[in-house]
Amino acid sequence: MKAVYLAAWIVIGGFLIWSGNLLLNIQALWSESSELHVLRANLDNLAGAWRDLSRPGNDVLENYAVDRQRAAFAAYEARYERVYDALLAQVGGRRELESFVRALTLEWRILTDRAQEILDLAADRERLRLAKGAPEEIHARETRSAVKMARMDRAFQNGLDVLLRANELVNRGEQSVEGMQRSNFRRLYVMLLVALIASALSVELVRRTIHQREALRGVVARIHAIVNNVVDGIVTVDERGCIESINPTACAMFGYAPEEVVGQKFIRLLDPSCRGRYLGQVKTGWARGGAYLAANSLGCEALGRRSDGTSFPMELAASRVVVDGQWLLIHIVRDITERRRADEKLRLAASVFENTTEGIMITDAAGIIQSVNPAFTTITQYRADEVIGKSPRVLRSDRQEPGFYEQMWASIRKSGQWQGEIWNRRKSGEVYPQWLTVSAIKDGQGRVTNYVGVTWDISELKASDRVKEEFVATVSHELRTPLTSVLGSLGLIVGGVAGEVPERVERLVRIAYDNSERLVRLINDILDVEKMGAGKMRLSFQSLELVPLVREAAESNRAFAEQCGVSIVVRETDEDIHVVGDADRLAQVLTNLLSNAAKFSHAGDCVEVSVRRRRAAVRIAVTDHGPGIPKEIRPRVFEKFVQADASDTRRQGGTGLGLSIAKLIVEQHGGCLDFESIPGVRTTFTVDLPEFRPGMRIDQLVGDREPLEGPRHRKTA
Amino acid sequence: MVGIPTLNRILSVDDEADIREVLGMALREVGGFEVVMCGSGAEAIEQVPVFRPDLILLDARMPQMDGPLTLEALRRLPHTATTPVIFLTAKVGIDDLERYGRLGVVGIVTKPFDPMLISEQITRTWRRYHEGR
Repeated sequence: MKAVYLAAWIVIGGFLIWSGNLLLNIQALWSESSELHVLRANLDNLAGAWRDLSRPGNDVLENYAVDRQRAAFAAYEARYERVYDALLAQVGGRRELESFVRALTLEWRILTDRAQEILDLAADRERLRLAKGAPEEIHARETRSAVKMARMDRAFQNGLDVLLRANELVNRGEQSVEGMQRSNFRRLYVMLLVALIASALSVELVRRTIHQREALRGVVARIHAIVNNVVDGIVTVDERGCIESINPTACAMFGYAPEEVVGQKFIRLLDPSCRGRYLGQVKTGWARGGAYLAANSLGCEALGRRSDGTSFPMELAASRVVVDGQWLLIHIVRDITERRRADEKLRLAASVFENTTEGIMITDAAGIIQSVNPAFTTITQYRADEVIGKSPRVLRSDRQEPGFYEQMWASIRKSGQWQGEIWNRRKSGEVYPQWLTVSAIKDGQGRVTNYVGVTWDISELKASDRVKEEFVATVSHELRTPLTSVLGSLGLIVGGVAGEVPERVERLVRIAYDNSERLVRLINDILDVEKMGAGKMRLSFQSLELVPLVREAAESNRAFAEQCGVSIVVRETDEDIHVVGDADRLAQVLTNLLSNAAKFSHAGDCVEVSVRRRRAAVRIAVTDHGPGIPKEIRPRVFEKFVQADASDTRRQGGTGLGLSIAKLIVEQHGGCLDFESIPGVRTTFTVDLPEFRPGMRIDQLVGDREPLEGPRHRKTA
Repeated sequence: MVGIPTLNRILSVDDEADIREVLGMALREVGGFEVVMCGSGAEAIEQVPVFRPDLILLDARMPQMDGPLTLEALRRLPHTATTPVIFLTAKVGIDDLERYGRLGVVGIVTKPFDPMLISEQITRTWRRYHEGR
């Protein structure tokens, strides 16, 4: 760069000298040209004087006014002298012209001499004529005069020749000067052109220099911004190990203000446990040169020390650079506390993935298996490498109904999740039931990136369910057989078929009979609960007119209510209300609610029943005015085997299952069973069912209420 | 239209002696029927040609020859090829009831029954059967 500048300056210097010379030359030629101009004028003047001089000669011959002629001649001579002097001054240094002028002067002298002689002769002739001298003498003088005249003419002619030649010389001189001047102007033009180009180049050079400076300033500002805003801490340390600069990130990381640490030893920012290692590394690194401390190469955990004395894990790297001839160690520090935590979380997640007993399968967005855990391989009997890269279809059995997988995927696309029971096939070919949850995993933009399937092998659960079902069925059957005999015998006695029995015996038999009946109800309820729990309760849905159903239920429970000293009144009914339901099961619900209400009423009370429309629903309300449901039982009213334990009101033993069965039945009808109890005032149980209105289809109300895995409901209009 | 025939003779089959006694008493004393009680399917097959029942009450679950097998055997006999049969069962599972229903019985009475009401229940089934023919 410097050489370029030096060359540029040399060129510019040479150019200036050259152009200076050129200008001086032009100026000299200009003055020469003007001198030549004056010279020409003087030569012209001289030629005029010469011509004038030739005329007096004649005048001298024609006229004999000698005196007058002499005076005129003297005037011409003076004039010539003047011009000659000027001419001599002009031609100084021009040798050729000088010789002409001298030749001219010689001729002039000759001319003036001849003229003098002629004038003298003329004066003699005049004198002779006046003295009337001898004609021979006059003639002789005239002859001499004529000879002199002829000589004078020659001199005159010579002088004119000399003048012409001098004039020509001046012409040539002028032409030469003009030529030189033209050449000079051409050079001047070139010079101006060069100067113009040089100026343009200079302007460009200056512009570039300014631009470079601005760019440099921008780079510096950018580097400054980067250093100040980078997420890593940057600390520069000089050869003595003292902090030379520290960026805001590092300040925040260590909890210092810059002025607190600049000039301090860098190892102050390190936990004492790793200072020794750091110094050792720096020493070897310094000897080796270059990047002397690679990240994580400290040989122990790099720990930073904050101003409050606490330590934190960090990543530390350093390299050596030269800035302005000074060695600097640039330290890059990064607080990795959060990363450690995230690593720990990841480790935990990975551990769960590896050790859980649930099979986990992760697929990509296209459903291709990317990863499976050990439990998955245990359940399916496939090794990981046998399923990775394949579709989960390899696990499919032919047990699923047609359209099952389409529905499953439709659900995943809609809600991002699906769960349910599914029959799959192990590698051995064995078909087994499993509970599967599939979840879509989405990225920040809501795009699905993966699907995660979590499965439990439920074959054992299923087997144990089957055993339980069989057990319940068997027990209920085995209980029913002896109960048939017991209840039949007691029924015949109570019915009087066995003849008259003493009153005390009859009372005891009645107790036995009632409790046998209770036992039968209990068995029936247990079976109901079991069936509903297994999804095996079958409901026969059809359009039902609700009010007659309610009245019938009230009627059939009236006898029981009367035994409790309670009356049942159906009031406040909207007519012509239809619901979709199973008549027997709804009657079971109403019987449960009515018998409960009667049981928990005081003797002489009235149980009120109403059926009212409520927007799109219908509400059946059964109200009693008994003691109400104790606060502590309320949250558990619909749980199994929960009963209000007021011994004085337990006039009829319940099974403790009635309300939970009723709730299940109502829910299977798409309805809701609830209650409100004000102790000592009233308790109202409400059944809300969707109303079936003209124009609706039955499956609109019951279509999607099939139990999870039970057989389809019979749908009858 | 022919009137509904009167139900008089009922043959009942049950392996439980106690139930036989209670049921027999209920049908005779409460229902006023002429009743023959059998302890097994084989005994019923023997009794049928002699007794010629109007209706047969058949316990579904019995050792050796159970209700369905007995029914099958009875259907092969000329006297009972079309005699209406009611199953009496302690099994009240839906599957059982459906299975029995498919065997062509006219009704199912579940145990335990009410001895005072069973005769009426049977009569109702008898009537419904004949009305539907």
